[in-house]
Amino acid sequence: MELVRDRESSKALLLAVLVVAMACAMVVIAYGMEQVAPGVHDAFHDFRHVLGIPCH
Amino acid sequence: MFGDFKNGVVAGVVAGVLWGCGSMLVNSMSGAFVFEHSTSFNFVVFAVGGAIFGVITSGFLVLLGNRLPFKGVFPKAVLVSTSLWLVLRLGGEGLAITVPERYHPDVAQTIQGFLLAVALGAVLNLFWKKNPAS
Repeated sequence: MELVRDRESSKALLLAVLVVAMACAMVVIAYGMEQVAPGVHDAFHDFRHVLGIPCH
Repeated sequence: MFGDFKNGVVAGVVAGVLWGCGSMLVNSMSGAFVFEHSTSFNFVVFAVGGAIFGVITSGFLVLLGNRLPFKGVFPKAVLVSTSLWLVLRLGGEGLAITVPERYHPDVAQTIQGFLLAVALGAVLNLFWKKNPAS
């Protein structure tokens, strides 16, 4: 019982970490933060414009 | 929690990839922005970007769904997706004000972005499976 609960907690924690990591990625992509991820500005340039986020 | 977290993340990925690819199609028809990269490159980029936006939207829907003032999944999903887009857009507006030589807002792209945010909520609604135990 305890083991099942631990496994469920670990799974929930992993998914929570995944969502937080994705949230960071979303902000980096949305604003093209080259300092955080070099190349992200150019790679997601068209995506950003299509979503209406200000760009150069 | 509103629904199962794992199901929500899976629904977010699937809905996001479809939404991302659909966004390319919508922009091709609207002409709000002329693509600068090749279609094949953008196909991958929009799928990855869409998956990320989909996961975030579904993650917030799982966390906040029970506290939102609507009964159905559709209005809740649309409220979450448009709110996220609005936060990002306002951040972009802040960048446009502080660094005007680099960030240029565009009205047509903004309207298109808002409508696509509504569409993300609608697509997520299609793939959402509410956990009966929640």
